[in-house]
Amino acid sequence: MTLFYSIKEAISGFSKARLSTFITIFTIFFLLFILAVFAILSSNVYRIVNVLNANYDMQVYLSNTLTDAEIESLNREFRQMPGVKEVRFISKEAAASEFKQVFGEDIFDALEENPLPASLVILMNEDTKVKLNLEKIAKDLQKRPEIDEVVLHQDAFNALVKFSRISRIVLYTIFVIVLAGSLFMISNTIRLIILARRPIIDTMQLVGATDAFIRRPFIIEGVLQGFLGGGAAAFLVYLLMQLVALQWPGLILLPNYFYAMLLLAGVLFGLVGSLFAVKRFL
Amino acid sequence: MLELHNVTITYPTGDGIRKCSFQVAPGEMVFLVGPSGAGKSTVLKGIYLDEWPAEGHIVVSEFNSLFIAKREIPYLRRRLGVIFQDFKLLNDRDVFRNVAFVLEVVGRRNKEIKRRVLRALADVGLSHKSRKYPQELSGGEQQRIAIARAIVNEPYILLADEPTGNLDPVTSREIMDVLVRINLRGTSLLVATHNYEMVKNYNGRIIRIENGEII
Repeated sequence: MTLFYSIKEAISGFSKARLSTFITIFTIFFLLFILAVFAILSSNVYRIVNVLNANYDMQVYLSNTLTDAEIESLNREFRQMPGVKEVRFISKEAAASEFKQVFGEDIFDALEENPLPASLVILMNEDTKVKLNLEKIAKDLQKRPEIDEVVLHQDAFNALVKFSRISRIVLYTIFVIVLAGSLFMISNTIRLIILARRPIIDTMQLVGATDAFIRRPFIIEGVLQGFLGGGAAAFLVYLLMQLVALQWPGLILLPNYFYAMLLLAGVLFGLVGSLFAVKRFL
Repeated sequence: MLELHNVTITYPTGDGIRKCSFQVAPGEMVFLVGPSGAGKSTVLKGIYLDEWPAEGHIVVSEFNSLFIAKREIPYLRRRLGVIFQDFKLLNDRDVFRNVAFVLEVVGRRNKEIKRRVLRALADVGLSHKSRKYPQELSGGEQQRIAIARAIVNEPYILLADEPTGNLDPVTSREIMDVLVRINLRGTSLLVATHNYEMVKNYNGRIIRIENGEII
């Protein structure tokens, strides 16, 4: 009976501060939606860059003094390194023919001896953790006497790492803004509703309503606002993901529990915001 | 039993009441008479603990202001019925819901609410106006609704703060008659009023208050 009464009062409260309630629901929806979009972008960062540049490799130029057996031994060693997908040997001759392909001139026309070193091209697999260690691996290899130089082909990868870091910071910032914004909007709306219903609250107190009984409708109201805002965000993100999946099938889609989390986040914001307002203004 | 023992309530402005003591026995009718600003409303606020005694203590039935916890105040107030000069009705609901509200707040069942509200409205002679809104009623009718609301939960004592202050003499008399009828059925009645001429015609005990002191 009392819970039914509280729900009835909470719903009637919506009509008492219509505009404010609408703005709050919309704010929660908008902020959670932006949060979700950034979560999608963030979880797809690596994949997006993969599409642009699928190979993350490192070219190890070998010392001219190495014998075939030593090269083979290095080749074997690299293959066994974690995260290595493939190691390709480019001999001095192959390098010269590649030179000819690229520059259109035979290197032997200008020089008597082939100055191009043999190299091992290391292709890493797409495990991001391995990619993040690539620079360190290259530095370690560089110290070895049998290796002349290590060149990382990772401009795109660096950009990816940078973007990933920035996107994570943006995501966290947005989350804080979402949290603070939602709590402020909800508590402010509940404050307005409390002010609009001051006479009824005074009368309730006078006739012996307990604090919990008086507070309950406002808390339910906050939770409802959060539920509607979170629900709208979850629904729209779901629709967006369906469209995205059709357009770009390779992208990582959000797991189903993410929608439930959006809804839950809305409800939690509503609960905390209204509890804060009720504690402060009642 | 309602008892005030040397109760002092002070406001930052310096007004209030000082060392007030009196009792209201079960079923008794008492008029607290004094000019405006004498401290009548403060006495009533002290009884329903809207104001807390700085000194002394107040006893209402099993509740004592010395020992009562803040969370118990709603339960004290459920034992009281309070009527105000400005009625304090809720304009967003009809007469029936205004009276039913008291019982909804304390979690009564729908069937019981309906039965009790109809009886309270019959007691104040306004059963036929249960679907009207407060603003559609005259001042006298609004005060009778406020009385119905005050008695619907069968209070231990009825407190009336200038219940006829906004009404003409004829309507005031009608309101007083309703209150007296309720008192005759056994509910204690404490009426705070500045209108001595009106209350002297009733068979109740008169307590005078001036400048915050019982005289």
